[in-house]
Amino acid sequence: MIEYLALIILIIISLSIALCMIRVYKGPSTPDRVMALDTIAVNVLAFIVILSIVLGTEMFFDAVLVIAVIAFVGTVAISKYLMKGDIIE
Amino acid sequence: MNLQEIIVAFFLLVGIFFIITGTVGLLRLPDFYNRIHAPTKATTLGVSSTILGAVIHFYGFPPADGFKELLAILFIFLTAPVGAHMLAKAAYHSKIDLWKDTIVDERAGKRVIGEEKMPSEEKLEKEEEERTPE
Repeated sequence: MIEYLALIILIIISLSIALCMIRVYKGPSTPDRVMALDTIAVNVLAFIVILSIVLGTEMFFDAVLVIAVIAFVGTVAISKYLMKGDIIE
Repeated sequence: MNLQEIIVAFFLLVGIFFIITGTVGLLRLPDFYNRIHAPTKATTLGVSSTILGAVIHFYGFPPADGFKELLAILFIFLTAPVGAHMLAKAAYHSKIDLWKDTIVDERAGKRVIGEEKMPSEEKLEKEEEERTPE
């Protein structure tokens, strides 16, 4: 029963990622695009969690942690690059 | 439907509501500094609620491995504000334009545009002086 709800929610999250892609395409400045990509990463986290509910396995839970770490490090690195033009001083 | 499924469905629905709210805010708000609020708060809360629902859904299975997802919730709550703050600082540093209706730029400590829409105190005093003789 919960699997059907999870399938519908998967479709809605895909729509949400598509909306984020519109912001990545339009975004007038670089920080806009970075923020939209960060939002896509957070949406992918929810996507993976709900996909694991649909498939009935806990295998993907490690991927959530890894993607969260990578998204955070990427956002901070690009922010530092935008601020100083240099990542590692 | 037993109680566990109802609780999972509640958390999933709350999560998807906040995720879609954050994304629509990211798409529709007028300014970068307005836009950064939507994914930082709403989407973080939505993802946390979704993960909590998944943990409750997998509670009771033999491996019982879902508890490290609570660690993921903690990590997201710690890192989302830090990333958004650094991004906002970078955007301000690289002089992204403020919204055209912005009244006060508090970081620079000055009023940006509001002169026409919000009359300054001197203008108000002048108007009062003009009114009083009558």
